[in-house]
Amino acid sequence: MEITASYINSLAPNIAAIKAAKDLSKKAKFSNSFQSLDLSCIFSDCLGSSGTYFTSVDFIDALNPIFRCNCPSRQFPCKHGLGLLYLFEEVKRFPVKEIPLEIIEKRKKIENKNNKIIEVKNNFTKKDNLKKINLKKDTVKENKKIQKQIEGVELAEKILFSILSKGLKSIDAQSRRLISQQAQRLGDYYINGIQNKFQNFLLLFNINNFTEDFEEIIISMLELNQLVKQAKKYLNTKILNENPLRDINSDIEEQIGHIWKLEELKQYSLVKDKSKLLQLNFLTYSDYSKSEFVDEGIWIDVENGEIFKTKVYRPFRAINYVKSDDTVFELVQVSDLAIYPGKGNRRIRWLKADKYDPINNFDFITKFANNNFEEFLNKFKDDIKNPINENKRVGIFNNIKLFQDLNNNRYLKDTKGLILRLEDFSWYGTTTTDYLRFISDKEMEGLIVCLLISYNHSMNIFMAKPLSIVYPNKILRLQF
Amino acid sequence: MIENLLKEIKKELIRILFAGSVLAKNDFKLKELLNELEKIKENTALQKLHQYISLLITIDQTEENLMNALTLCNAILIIQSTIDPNITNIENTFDGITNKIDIGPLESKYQAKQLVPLINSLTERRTGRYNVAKLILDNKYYDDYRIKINVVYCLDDSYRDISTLMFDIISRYDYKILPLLKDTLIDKSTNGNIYRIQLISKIGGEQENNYMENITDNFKSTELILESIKALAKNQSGKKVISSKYLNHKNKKVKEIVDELLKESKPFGFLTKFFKK
Repeated sequence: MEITASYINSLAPNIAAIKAAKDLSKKAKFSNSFQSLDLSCIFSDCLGSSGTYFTSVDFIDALNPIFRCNCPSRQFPCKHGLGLLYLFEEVKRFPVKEIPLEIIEKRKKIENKNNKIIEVKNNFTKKDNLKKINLKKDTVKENKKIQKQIEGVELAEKILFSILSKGLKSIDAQSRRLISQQAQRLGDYYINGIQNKFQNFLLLFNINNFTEDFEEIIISMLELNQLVKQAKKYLNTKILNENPLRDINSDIEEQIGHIWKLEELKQYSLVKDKSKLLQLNFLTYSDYSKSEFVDEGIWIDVENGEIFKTKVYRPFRAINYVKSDDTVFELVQVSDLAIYPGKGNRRIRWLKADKYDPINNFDFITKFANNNFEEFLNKFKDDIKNPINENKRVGIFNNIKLFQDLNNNRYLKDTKGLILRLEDFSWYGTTTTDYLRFISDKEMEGLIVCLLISYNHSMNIFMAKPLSIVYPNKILRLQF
Repeated sequence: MIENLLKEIKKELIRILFAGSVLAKNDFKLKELLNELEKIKENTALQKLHQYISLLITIDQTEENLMNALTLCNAILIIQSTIDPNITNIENTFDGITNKIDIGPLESKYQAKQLVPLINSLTERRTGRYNVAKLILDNKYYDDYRIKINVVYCLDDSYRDISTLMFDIISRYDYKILPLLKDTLIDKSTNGNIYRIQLISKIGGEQENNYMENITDNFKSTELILESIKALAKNQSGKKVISSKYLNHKNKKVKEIVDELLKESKPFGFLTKFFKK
């Protein structure tokens, strides 16, 4: 595998690590650097702040190199491993030496572990029928959990109704503290999703405090009320079933607070074999109600054109220890693609990509693009009627024209003449409409645009934010 | 008409949401709106809304009805929203967009992990940004259009070291940045604008004489006028313009600087002072 600077950058947890690693390689902190004969491993000593560390990068799995280092850093991969890669990228070759025993032993351990996983997988696929899964022993446990959830939802409803009866205007600092304390108790009832919605609602109060547009508070209230209402109905129906199965036609489980595990998604046949995906947009934003960063990628399945999203959650407190997601320019091949239940752009996840292929031809996207806004919006309208469904959806549109009015509002027109107003949603990253000024007139004709569409409740119109523009030979990203 | 009525109803329901649902009973405004709704309840959704509002103003425990009515009202408004330009009354439009700027082919080849800290260092106003922004100079991220644009905007940064750094970056990689520099130049005496004039003069040279002349003629900021005159004085044709146009400029400061510049530019100009005496 070719090791390039951009490849090493993509492995780094953050830009500080890149800088520190480059410094290490520049300042000649590495000594006794070697590579194995088959180039599957490079290893070296590195002079660090508390002694000399032995660091190695193992390419036994070429796509997922294993970094090993005996330094005390909790960051993974540490700067020493990355520094060694930068050094290797610069000198291209180290003297050849046998792989140390220590590494061989660790390789064996991994091999044994992988064998076990394959064995379990094979056993599992033999009985790969949902009905055959032994759910009985979990049923009692699950029913207890649902009962607890119902109690939690009823408590949430009480809190909500007490707010409603007194009115939003009555919420002062003291009552906000009280509601926050009550909302914290909801965490004991396995309904973290509802708890987060409460926190988000209170957060909006702190930010807006009725001085600005309070539309957001109203929407948040509607969302919370509907979620409590639907959760109550859903859980009461679920508990009546002998084998309480999760609803996979909507994301109600996730909204209540369930965290889907990959194995569980497999059980519900929500894992797709062999997919090819291309990233159209990437963004990191903060979710203050959950105190975490969210890395969100927008992807298109190159076989059927469905648009998905990936989400990596990084709590503020663990920011240095959780690897962030990043922009991917290559075509990604995945053998097990887990698709989360839900509507619109469903969430996807995979453990390990099989292949990253460079791509230069993006013509295929045209055939998946919508030719007008109407059809897309009708479906979207139908979903967001229910306030718990996300008021944002990404779509690709073909043959789009850009125009403007005298008030400098910019619009997009489709082939039918229908229009969407452009807007930089401040809740979704940096400005992108301003970048349209830099696109030449030639490139403007018959645009293929990837748009994020959202309904503006106060203006009663749909608005769009351009995320990227698709050309035959490149994708121009307006965000990241 | 329905849309306006629904908006009115929504507004009133929101008012009750803020005031408290206990006050909804016998609300006279809602009663009025209910009567209007009575006349046009043409589909099931409107009938259902009518039912919720009727319950809201008649019974005591109204929290659920209030939220049901608001949710339904909102849902009907979403369904009725349109993107037809004939209905939405968008007027005075024209194809394309104004203020278009050609800064060459746009490239977006860097990853978020590399770009985000750099763009944050250019757009935020926190401390500790200088060392991050310096990476642009070291690693040539400047060829990415998102960095290029923000570097120009950052000439106005109140942190002087950063704005000077941006000046250095642009001087180093000039590319096709002139139109953007011109676009962001406004008639205001700030370091950022002075840097812009200096950069335009440096990158464009003699070809930008007309632009400098334009600034001198139309701008009000004396500092920017002085800077553009200094820029003109850097080449022979510019000097000619200065001597023909600005020798008797009404602004005293401008006149002084013109005199000084012309003296310096004349061969043996330093002797003029001596001979005058």
